[in-house]
Amino acid sequence: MEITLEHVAKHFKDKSNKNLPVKKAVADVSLHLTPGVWGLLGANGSGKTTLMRMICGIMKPTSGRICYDGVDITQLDDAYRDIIGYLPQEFGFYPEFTVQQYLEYISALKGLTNVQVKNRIDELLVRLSLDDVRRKRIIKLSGGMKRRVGIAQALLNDPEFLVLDEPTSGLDPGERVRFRNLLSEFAKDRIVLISTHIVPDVEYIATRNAIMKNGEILLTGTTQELVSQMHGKVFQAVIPPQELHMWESDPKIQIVNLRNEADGSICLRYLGNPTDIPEAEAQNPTLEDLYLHLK
Amino acid sequence: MTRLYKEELKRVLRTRSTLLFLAAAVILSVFMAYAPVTYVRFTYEENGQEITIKGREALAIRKELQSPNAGEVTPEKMAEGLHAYQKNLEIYGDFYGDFPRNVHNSEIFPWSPQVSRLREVMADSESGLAPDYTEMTEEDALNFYERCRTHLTDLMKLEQRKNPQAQQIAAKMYDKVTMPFYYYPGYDTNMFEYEGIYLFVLMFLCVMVTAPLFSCEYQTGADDILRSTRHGRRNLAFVKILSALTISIVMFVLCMAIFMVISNSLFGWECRQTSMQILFSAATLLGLNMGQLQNLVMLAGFIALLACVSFILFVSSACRNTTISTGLTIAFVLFPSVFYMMIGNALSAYLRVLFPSGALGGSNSFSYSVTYYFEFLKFGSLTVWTPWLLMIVPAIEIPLFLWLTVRTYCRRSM
Repeated sequence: MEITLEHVAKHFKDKSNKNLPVKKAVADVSLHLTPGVWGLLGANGSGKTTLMRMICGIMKPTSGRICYDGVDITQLDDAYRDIIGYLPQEFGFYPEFTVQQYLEYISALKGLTNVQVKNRIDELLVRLSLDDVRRKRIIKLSGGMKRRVGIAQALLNDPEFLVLDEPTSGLDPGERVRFRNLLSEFAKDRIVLISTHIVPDVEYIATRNAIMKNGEILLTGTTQELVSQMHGKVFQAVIPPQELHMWESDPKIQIVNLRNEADGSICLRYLGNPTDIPEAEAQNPTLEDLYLHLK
Repeated sequence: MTRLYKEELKRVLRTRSTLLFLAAAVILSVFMAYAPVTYVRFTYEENGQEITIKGREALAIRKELQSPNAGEVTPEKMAEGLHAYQKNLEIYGDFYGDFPRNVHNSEIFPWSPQVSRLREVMADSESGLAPDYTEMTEEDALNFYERCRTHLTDLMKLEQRKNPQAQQIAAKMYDKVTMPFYYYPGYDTNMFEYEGIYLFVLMFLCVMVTAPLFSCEYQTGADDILRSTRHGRRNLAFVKILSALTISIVMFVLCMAIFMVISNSLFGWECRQTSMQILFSAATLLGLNMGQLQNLVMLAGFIALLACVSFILFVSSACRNTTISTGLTIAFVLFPSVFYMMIGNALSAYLRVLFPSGALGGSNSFSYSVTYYFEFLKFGSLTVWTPWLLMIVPAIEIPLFLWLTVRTYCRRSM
């Protein structure tokens, strides 16, 4: 099973001002998605959502094509939608629905049989700790619970290809960990594509990552492969507080973290060279360092 | 698909606004069926004082007084009625002065539906003015049905002076009108008008249920999830259309059944046999009795309602939020009535035919066109009687708007 993106691009015209140039939301993206968890990292407005909507077949690319096992997804049509589960960034639902009613509605849309529906909904509600609120209206639930309902609907058809756009927004730390574990378990022999700008969400579970900026994929690889590019570029130094402003305005370094120490000094983590700040020590890089470096 | 249809139907019926509109439709069907009875009045004199009774009691007395003359409207009855009028006018002078109320009730009122039609058909061919009761003769009454045809010819020459084709069509249509006419007391034109008004109200409530069906998805963002599912495109569009039509049809059948049963029970089912020519104008072009006319108006209303629902589904599929779709729905639904009432020229006559809601409302409505007006529209060399257009055009529009709805929904944000 594989999803292939071949030179996919999406351009938008500004309908209110035709004189403005066409906006390239996604520009010439080629990607080969194989089973495992994929992290799609990028700042807000980098084109992640547009790319994901095209991958889900909700939006047509301006150029290029997206294939599932070598066949264009537009040809596969509903057969393709049968194998995907999608949670958009904005989880929209009909306000009149309870959790159970909503999942029954979506399962009808996904073509599940009556026999399948009950078991599948029961199983997901238990797995996502939503069993107690199944008869509650979604609109009355907390942000985290709503998100979990969104995840439940995406998993209803036991999809081969799961696409989650910013799935952890609104979840508390405990819920995030549970969610990561659920995905790791789920991702065996399937493709899970998660877009986020919160790097730790994918750092530990992503088999591979793609980093997106201005509609383009800048880098792809495993977390290790990507992180290795930052070896020798991440440092930590302790500075007196009066020097902070000076280092913040230094164009040679990029501060990625600040920590106030008990003695009043400041511990800086930065991207740059060891000689930039005296007595700086090399640090093990993380995916976040790379992300911030590229950002 | 069946499961999806049931789920969608349940979803729409769970919506608070749908339940409110449904309840309003049922309550109004009872209220509007009953309302015309409250307008019925009967005044009589007792101990030198005028007493007016209202509602069902008044209706019963009126029916009782006119019932001896019920049934076939024969020329002989016409002559008898005219004789009663003329005899009493000779004794008491005109009806507007000191004409004794009780004499009017017992001698004049029982004949008034028949004699007023005779007076109508005896109108002057040039001016259209009706003669005085004393100017008509027994011979005129005995020739009533011949005069009906002549009257139509005169009327069409006045109304459609520049359109001989319309005059010919009207004459051909009138040839098919069944004569003699029949009259059964009780039926009130208010009741007929309320049927038209209620059809408009019902259509309005149905389109208000329909207006958010697609736009609500776009507004809530539910759309992206739905579109990424197996049946989330064309099938969902079909199912949404089907559920909107189901709700509208059930609302229509249920509410019109309530309306018809109540109003006909109040006024009397036998009144449905009255010829429409006796109640409205002797020259009306359709050979129907009131029951058949009620059914025809219902059919035209049903077609218009389905056309409006189809049109509003299309509007909803093209609007990004419910506020816009609801606002446009109200505007589109009211436009033909308001435009026709305020402008009233040839353009408005053509426009209301094109609008799916053109057959419902006030003076623009099918029920008015079929009873009060002699309106024809020209399309090049072709002339068509407007009421037929008010049925045919919406019928054509139904599949067109439904196709546009599916197309717009499927192509949205692609």
